[in-house]
Amino acid sequence: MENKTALVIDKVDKSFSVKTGKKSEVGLLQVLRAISMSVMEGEIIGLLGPSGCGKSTLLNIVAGFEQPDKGEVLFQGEPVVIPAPERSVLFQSAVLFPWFTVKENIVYGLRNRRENQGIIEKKYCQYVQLVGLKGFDNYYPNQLSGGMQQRAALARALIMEPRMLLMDEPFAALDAQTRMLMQQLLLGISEQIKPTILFITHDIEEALILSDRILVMSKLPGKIIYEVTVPFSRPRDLSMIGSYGFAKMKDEIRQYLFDQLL
Amino acid sequence: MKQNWEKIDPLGLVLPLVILIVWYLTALSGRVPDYLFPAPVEFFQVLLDFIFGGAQLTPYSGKFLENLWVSCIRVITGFGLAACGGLLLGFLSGRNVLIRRMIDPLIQMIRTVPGIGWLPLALVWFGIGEGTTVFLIALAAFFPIYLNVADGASNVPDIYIRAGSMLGADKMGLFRTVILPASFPSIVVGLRLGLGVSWAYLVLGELTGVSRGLGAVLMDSRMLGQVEMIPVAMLCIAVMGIVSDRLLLILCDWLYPYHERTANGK
Repeated sequence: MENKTALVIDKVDKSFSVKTGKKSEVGLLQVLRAISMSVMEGEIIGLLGPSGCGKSTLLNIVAGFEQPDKGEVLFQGEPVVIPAPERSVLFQSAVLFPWFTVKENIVYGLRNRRENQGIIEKKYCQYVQLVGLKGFDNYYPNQLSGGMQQRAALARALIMEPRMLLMDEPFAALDAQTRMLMQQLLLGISEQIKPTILFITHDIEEALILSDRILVMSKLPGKIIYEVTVPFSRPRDLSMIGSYGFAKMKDEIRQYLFDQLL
Repeated sequence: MKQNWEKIDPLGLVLPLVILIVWYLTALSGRVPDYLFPAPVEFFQVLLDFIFGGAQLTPYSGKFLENLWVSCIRVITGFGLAACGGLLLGFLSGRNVLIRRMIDPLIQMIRTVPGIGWLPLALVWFGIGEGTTVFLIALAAFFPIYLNVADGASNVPDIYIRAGSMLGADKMGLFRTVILPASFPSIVVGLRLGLGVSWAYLVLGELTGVSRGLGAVLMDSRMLGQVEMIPVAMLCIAVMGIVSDRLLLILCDWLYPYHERTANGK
């Protein structure tokens, strides 16, 4: 794999104005402080941090939903200004449109791009197979289980063939078994299409299973305090969880994370 | 799935039936004189005569359809105007903070004047009859439509907008595929309330002295001493209110077959 940089985050600051206790006093809460990192093409980065540390804000900035106060985000060398399908987002919940069927949801982005019907059908078949949701075309999202909804959302994001996938704790809302299934599915998919992924999680195991590199953020204001390359070879599967190396790394990362909780 | 407008709950028929029996027994006892309220048998005779004609029991024999037609045109015109204005301004105010800050206070101010309070001015502006009636309907129906549309449009969850724009939808696309379907349940509520108010203000407008329409029948019956026609006209208006509400629901279901799914993922 060539070593091309996909994403550069350069000294990004972000604050929010918040109402403090008394009437109309408005305080400024710094959420991100001088965050810098880069993501290589085809790399999977796991971002760990205590809850409320600004992980999601960082992801929203990369997605183009929010603008940084200072610093800049470059994607393929271009500054990120607005959301775009080349940087698809997988939210914590599936956020499928409840008024569309599974199929209408998945091909939504292709329709926006005015693709012709033949291409839409072909890609739909391909991606619905990839996430294992065949036969649910005409179901509505509320008729699916949480895991199936998240798979549909994954297909909806991947069908755009994004150059990068941003995931905001995408499996956090699922039960433990479904989460394992989804992790396995994502491992399988990442073997097939080699996506560039930046994902947020609070689950150290999940970060170790999925990532090539793990970044740990501090509590507010969030900055990156620890970085580690995950040495496990690919293709991976969930059996690695039992290995000694896995346990050792998990423990090490826990130390860093735990310091931030106090 | 059973649609809303298909359901008829037998339990809802119990109370009307009880009233009918009590009414019948009261009339039978002879305690209420005919000139205050007609007996059920007479009532139904007049009703049937009003609709189908033939018996010449009142001057309105067989005049149901032509009066209904005139009233319906007024309601449709007034309600249509209100719907256009309410939807347009509702969406603008619901989705654009600048527009909301500009128009909402004024609309809220005008809203506090009861519709009836506009009657004198409407009579001056539009004269007795058609114009005044349509104006009153349009004005009164506008507010519930505007309020509900604005509320629905402003409460579209931000995350849906984000998902849509992340998947490449432009402004028009977002409106069509996200904002409109997400706020559709509120739109339906607004339209239904507006249509209900339309019938109320139809009667008010027609009471001011037009020659035709269900409201005119209602008012003129008293002056002509046809007391038995009054409850008949009232019943016709009530039934028309229900029928038009059902028709509106059917229309909404046809336009947006999935609108019921939108609310709370039901």
